[in-house]
Amino acid sequence: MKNSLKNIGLAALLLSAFLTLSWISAREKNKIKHLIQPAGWPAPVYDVEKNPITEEGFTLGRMLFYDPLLSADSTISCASCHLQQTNFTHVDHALSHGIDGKKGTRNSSVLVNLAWSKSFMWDGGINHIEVQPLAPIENPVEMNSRLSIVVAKLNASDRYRQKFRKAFGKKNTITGQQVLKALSAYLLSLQSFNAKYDRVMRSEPGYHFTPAEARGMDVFLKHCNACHTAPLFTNQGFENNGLAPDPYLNDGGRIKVTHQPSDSLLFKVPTLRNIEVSYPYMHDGRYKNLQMVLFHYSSNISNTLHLSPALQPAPDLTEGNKNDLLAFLKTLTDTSFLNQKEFGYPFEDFQ
Amino acid sequence: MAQNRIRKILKHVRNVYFLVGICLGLVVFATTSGKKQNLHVFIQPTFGKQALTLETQAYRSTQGDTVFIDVFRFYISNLQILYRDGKTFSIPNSYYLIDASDTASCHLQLSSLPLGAIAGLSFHIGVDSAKSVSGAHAGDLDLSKGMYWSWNSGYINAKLEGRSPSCLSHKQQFEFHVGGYAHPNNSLRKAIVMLPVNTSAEATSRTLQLQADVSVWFAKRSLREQAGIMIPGKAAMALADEYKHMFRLQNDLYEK
Repeated sequence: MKNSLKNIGLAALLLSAFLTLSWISAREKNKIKHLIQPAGWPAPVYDVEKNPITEEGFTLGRMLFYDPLLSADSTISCASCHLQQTNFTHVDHALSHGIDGKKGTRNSSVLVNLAWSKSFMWDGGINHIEVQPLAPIENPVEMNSRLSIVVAKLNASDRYRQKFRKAFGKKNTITGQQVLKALSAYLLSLQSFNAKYDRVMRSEPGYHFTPAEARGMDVFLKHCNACHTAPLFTNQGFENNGLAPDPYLNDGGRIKVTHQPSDSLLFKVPTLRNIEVSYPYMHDGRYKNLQMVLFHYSSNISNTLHLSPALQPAPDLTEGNKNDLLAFLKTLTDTSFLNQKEFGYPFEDFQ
Repeated sequence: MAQNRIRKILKHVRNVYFLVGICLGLVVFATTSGKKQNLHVFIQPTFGKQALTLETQAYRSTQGDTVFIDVFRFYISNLQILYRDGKTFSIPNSYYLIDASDTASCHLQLSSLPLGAIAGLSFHIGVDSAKSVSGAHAGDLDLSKGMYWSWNSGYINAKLEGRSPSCLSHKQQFEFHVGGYAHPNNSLRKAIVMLPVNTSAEATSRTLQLQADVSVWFAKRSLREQAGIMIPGKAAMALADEYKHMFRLQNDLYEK
């Protein structure tokens, strides 16, 4: 009797061990991609422990990012307005055009180091990266589709069904959740931390600031770092940086989300990483180049209500300061990121 | 010497096996042997006491407006069973999207509830803030269900759309999308539906038929004055305060 009980106990233990092992191996099947937290950076906002990024999810997300299937008439993909070589923004377009050439009211955002973002969009209206892709997919002047329509289109594709099974296990149908998780796996992987600035800071051999760049960094720390705080080059806050309101666009920014009068004309502080290539500048793309941006901050600030305290008084920049600052800002260009093949158009997926 | 030691260790290991086995057995026993009851909650969309017919049927609101209802959907969450003895049982991870155009969505099948005389139901209308700020979810919370704002994150807790000759809007349409999870505009509301006090029957299987009465949405508002709410704010808060009273018990059917 005692023996048989023992055997039952043993069998139960073996069974539970087997179940645990098979659960672990099922989890291990998809290779986990890790976010890199460079030395000196804060912890990312996105919790990869809870939401692991898999290699399969990333590959699938990249395919979706480059696929115009996401738009109502299959003409616009995410990449249409977010080009890798220009820090994933729409180069040379103050305001991007979506479906049927329709124009939006804001300059397309850069997509970089998003795992550190607390909110998304110029007005911070989006609270989590996984729900971010819903905005361009459903905006009538962007992709003008519906997530449910995208899901139906994907379910009609054998190739996609196979890819989703690989990424999310054997499920019969693709869901909206899976589409959003895959897209965010790709977006979260877009990390830039190998600019000359980073290499100098890490004291990598052969990397030194020129005298102009070094002077530029001093000017930057004095006048810009309060909002564009290193190493992310944004404090994630919302500020009124003294742009005269555009009466045609009539865009109140943050107030649209919070309905707080004190948020009128406040916009998200963007990162300055790869700023050299992500022109034009500001939430409405009004400045074509960095010289114009520096002119704005030194000489063109509109003293509207709730102007950022950091700009009162406006920074006193000499022409020499500006040239040095430009030299420093260009050290934030990370060519390895802008040309990284892993992030580019996946030719193999669309053959 | 070393062999003895190994034998001793093995004996301990065997004892551990034995104990773990017993524990597993107890867990299995506890979860399968106790008697349970099944509860079927049917939430029937109505206008007044009439079953709601979408699109084609004209209804008259207490404010005198003639209305056609095209879309009526809302979330029920955090469902709790209230017992006569004061105990409660929370249905884990309960988020249900009730859609008047999808009869299946109006039936909630809750199995294996603890035995005991049921006194009522408590639930939230809408989706809590924790789910609203934590990314993309599955099932009824999937963003492809069309109950999420794309430009300002957050679930739409309840949605009512239709037409009325009283509306001054485009195509005489009205659209009420009530949402908002953050203070001071958190439009999540709690509703409690109680069974009559004299019902004390214990049952193994029970059907509670609830009415979700759309006419309550119009009881205090004239469509000529307001044909839409599309953002979190004061107007959405006021409407949520009104429609939280739309549920009432119509029928309680049970088998002992």
